[in-house]
Amino acid sequence: MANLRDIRNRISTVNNTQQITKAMKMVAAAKLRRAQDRMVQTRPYATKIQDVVGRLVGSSSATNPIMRTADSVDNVVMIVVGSDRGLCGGFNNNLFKTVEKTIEKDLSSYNDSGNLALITIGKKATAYFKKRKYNVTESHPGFFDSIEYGKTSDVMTAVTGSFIDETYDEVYIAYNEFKSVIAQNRKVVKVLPIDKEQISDESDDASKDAIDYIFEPNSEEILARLLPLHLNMQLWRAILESNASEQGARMSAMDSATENAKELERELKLKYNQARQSAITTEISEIVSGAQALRDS
Amino acid sequence: MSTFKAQILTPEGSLFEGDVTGVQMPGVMGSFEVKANHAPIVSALEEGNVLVRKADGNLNYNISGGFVEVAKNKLTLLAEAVAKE
Repeated sequence: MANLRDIRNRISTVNNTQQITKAMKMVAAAKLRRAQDRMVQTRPYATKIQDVVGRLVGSSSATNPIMRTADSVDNVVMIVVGSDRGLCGGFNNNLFKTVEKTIEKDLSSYNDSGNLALITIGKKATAYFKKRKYNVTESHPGFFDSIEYGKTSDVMTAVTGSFIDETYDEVYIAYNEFKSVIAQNRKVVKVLPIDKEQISDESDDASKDAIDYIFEPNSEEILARLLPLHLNMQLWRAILESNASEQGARMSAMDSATENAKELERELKLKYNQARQSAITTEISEIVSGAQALRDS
Repeated sequence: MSTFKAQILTPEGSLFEGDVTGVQMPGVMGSFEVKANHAPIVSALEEGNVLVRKADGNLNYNISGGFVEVAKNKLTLLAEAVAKE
């Protein structure tokens, strides 16, 4: 039978841990709400851009450098959006596994020849891919300390620039899409070259009301200015979605940790009471037999 | 004076929403102003100052460039960075 004091110590340890996980869950819940608010606030801007891009993209000519498609794809870059902190269940690992699988399946030749570059956002993504000897050309640890649109557009503008000067021929973004608090969708999307049909499909319902717009100076020029904004938006959305998913994942991870701690505490208490009871029984029987011995003598 | 609806949107949320009598913007082909019942237009904007005329006074914003869409008496201005003056 375990020592009474040992069990008591363990109970208080478990209890402390439980309090921490409970607090972390509450913090994550508050952060999740804020993250969801930000996603909602972005929506009007995103829909409008999507709308106008969708309307213009069909009529664009090949002169726009962002619309170029390479004859042969030589260099590929992937932006991986992870998190800065751990303790969020399989949030990071699941995404990284998906990324590795995608690389193995579709991009292994680029990876073998060193033509696959990775841009990692978040400490965890940086650590994971650097350790596994991937070609990480750019990393942004601590990105989520303060989520700012400016930082996001800096990253994406640089990538768009490299796409235009033909350093890269394809650009992917890998991130966790926010599905619900307990579920994330791991997504790897190709953002460049731009898939014309997909964009016009997505904005189909909104732009059907054919208004005859005046374009100033002309639709080409507007599209040229709009596409960088559209691309920045893609990364911004990925980052916000990933942030919300992270908080959701942490919330459910901490919730189940709290549940586990509760269960453990219950078992330990049972053991403690059993030990206490048997200790008392032993003591009583000692006293009784001691008294018996005294009377007998 | 007749009014119309105007909205200034940024990636981080909506900055202005309300009824206005006119909006002056730095178009790439020069500054211009939109009044009520303007023809549908999509225009690219330069970096510069946006003046929003409201019935109870004017508002000034600095934008980093973007674009504006006017349709059905509703103006939507999109910019990546907007600062209120």
